Amino acid sequence: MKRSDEFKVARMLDELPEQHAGASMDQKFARLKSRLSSAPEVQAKHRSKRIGYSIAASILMFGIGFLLANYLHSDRIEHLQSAYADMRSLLIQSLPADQGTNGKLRAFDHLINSEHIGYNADELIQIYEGTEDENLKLAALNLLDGFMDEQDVMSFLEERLEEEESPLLLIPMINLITEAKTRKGMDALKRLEDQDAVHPAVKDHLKAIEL
Amino acid sequence: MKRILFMLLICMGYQVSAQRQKEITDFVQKWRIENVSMRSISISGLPGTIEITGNKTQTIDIEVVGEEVYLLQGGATGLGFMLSKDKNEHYRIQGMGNQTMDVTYQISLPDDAELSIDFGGQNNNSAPWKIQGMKGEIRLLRMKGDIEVEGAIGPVSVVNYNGDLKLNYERFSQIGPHSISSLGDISIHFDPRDELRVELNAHAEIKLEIGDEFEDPDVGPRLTKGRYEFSLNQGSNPLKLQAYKGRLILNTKIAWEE
Repeated sequence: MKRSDEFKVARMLDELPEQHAGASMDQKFARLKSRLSSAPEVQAKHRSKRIGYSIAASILMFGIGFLLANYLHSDRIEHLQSAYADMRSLLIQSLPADQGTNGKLRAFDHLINSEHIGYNADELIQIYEGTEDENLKLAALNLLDGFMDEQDVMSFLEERLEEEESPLLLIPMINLITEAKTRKGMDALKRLEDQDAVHPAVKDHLKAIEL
Repeated sequence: MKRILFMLLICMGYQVSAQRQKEITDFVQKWRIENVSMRSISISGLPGTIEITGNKTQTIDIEVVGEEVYLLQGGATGLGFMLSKDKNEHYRIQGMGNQTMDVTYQISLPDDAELSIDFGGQNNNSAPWKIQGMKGEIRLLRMKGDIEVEGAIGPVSVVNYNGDLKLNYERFSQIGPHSISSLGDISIHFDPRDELRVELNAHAEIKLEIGDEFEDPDVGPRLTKGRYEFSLNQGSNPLKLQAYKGRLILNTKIAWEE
């Protein structure tokens, strides 16, 4: 009802108090009059309450929405991380498989270039040991220089020095160990230099680095 | 009497040898197979020089020439190798020798077949390999000896424990990475229109000659140990190159006319 109409009705009721239409109607009129004659302060108080309820409801809805979105987002993140882990595992397992060099190197490049999938030293060593393809071994070996502070990597290189025959692999290994300059590594290089069966190119390389 | 018998024996031996030589020559002519559907071929254990030529006629043609051909024996061919194929059109030439002999295997193959030559392990054959006009994937592995590849598209993969490599690309395939690891002088020529990225690992001091068309090498004529990257025509498909000693030449040849 419009405000102007409310005042009109209230004045009419004041002006016609004798008009009784029964007790229930009287009560109704009394309530209506009471309501219509409510002071603006009361109305303002009701308005404040309404605003307060609206704000509370908004905050509540926002909170529910935020929690729901957060849950869904973290679920998605976990799902993505799980997918990346699966992809990494798949790539590493498929690398040594019976594929051509081209296929293996393509998978290897995808592994190392993807910022989400990632790789670590153990996986590089796993790739190296799981394949006969020298191109792939070299690709893995060339990345190990980022992990030379890890003891496992040093141990791996020192063991491989004694077993590896290919000069193409031995020379990069020698360079990695020389740069690391650990005592155990340098001793391993000296032992390699003393072996007779070492490839001439490896011997020349060891002489050139002057152990 | 004894002398006469002895002379007769020598004459007989000569005749047998000459007859054997003739038989081999005749036998060689038989090794031509036409209308083949070759997906790939792998070659191993051939003692001597290998010359491979790609052809557009879908033919396998094998001739063996040289001073020591008559010494070859074994294999169904009598020339020291077997030729076989499986149901997936993968062919195989399996040789019987690991040494260097004065023979040359002149092999003509369909130029779109994948070619793999694997002389790993204890193979001591150091005679040169010359491969010309093969347009498919090429994979080469050997312990020692020089390799020359002309007109390649690839992808090309070379592992050579000791020997020089000359590689002229007709076009640099974008299918996947190329990979060269050779302990010797390396000379690679590209078409000026090729797009590629060179990822070079120098494991010792290397003399470098590089064409001006390569972008941002920022390197001098002598490379120290380390990793270098530069591209040609801003390409992204990698050529993974491992250089161990000697000279490295990367250049573009004069554009060939179509």
